[in-house]
Amino acid sequence: MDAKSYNVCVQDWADALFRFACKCTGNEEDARDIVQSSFETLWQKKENVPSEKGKAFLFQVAYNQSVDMYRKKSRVQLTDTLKSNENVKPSHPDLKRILERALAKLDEQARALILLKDYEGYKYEEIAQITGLNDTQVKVYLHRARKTMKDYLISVEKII
Amino acid sequence: MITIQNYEEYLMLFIDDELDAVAVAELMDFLADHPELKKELEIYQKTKLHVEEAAGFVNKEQLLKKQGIVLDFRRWLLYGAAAGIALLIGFNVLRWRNNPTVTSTTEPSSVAQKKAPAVIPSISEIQQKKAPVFPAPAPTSPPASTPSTLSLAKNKSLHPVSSKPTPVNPLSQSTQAPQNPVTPENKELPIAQTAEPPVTPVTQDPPVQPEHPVTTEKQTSKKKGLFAKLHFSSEKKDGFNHLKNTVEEKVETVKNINESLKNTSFGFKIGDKELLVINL
Repeated sequence: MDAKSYNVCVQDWADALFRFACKCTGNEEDARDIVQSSFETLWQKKENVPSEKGKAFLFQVAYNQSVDMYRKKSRVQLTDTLKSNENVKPSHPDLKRILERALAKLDEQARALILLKDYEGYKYEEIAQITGLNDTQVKVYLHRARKTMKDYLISVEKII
Repeated sequence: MITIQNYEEYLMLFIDDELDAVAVAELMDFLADHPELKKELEIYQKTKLHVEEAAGFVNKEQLLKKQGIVLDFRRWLLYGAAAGIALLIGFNVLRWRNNPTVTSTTEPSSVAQKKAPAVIPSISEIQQKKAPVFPAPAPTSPPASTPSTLSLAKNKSLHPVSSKPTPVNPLSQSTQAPQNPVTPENKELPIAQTAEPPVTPVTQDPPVQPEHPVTTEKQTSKKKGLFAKLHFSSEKKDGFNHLKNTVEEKVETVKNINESLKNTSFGFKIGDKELLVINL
């Protein structure tokens, strides 16, 4: 990859990477840091990354950093906030908010898999390459995550 | 084949867009046979996230890189530093070869500066105190028949160190005193006497030795008289001798260095690469 291809990657994938990191970390500041760090890593290793693999490389770096950052943070605090959010019944709950809460209930790995699948449209094989899992693991973890989200949606609809 | 046991997996594969057209058609047929499962499919479809186009990374310009040749600056920095050191040393060596006394005089001067309080101030003090002694070379310059005022003016111009002209006369008298006794005429023209000392003693006293021995004797006696009047202490003489010896030693070492440098060469290497060789 040369500088031109790198700049094309920046123009094409910076926004998507930022959205992915935002959803993974739940924090825009952290997401911005992750995006900058991911592109810096790509620039440093551009000699070893083909142009067509640039996007996958970026999301791989962002995924690893998001998981590390998420694990560093206190999971207890996040669970508490989720519980407190559940107790507050929104006056006009929409599907987007419910889905965000459902996404927040997932662990960091399942959330990243869902984001890679839904936001970026990656196939199982590509997700496996990014996350370092195999195809079967990706499929199983994704289905488990979908089922969790479906159950949450059903429970919320019952409450409403 | 899709059954009631594995239909959920097919539903999720359908949501994830991982089914081919044949499998999709098979799933649709299965759902048509089991309409109660369509509700479950709708809920799974709701779990699919949709891209929020509004959110985006703001500072893309910061991430962009300039295109062009990227130099390995660290390597160039290394070469630049080596070349700079080589130029500095080469320049100093060339300058030293052109003017070897630059380096040789630095050390003796420092030595002399260290010894200076013992020697040099004493000389300056002596010059200030004994300034009238230096009229000794005065007799060579003015002619014998010049008026006293003119000789006095010349004496002033020749010896600007002495601020007062009056001390000149007694000293010149004192130096001339053993050979040319003071007469009333001499008292009238005291400075003119200092201008013509070689003539009068020879004419007045024939049996005296020829002129050259006389003059050498006079010079030595003048020198002796000069040093005698300076009243050097033994410590100051030692200081003069020490300074003289030090300077001579330094000059000798510089000569030796100059000789040895003719067969010397400087080389600069980084790793196995020989960058520069200077033959002197």
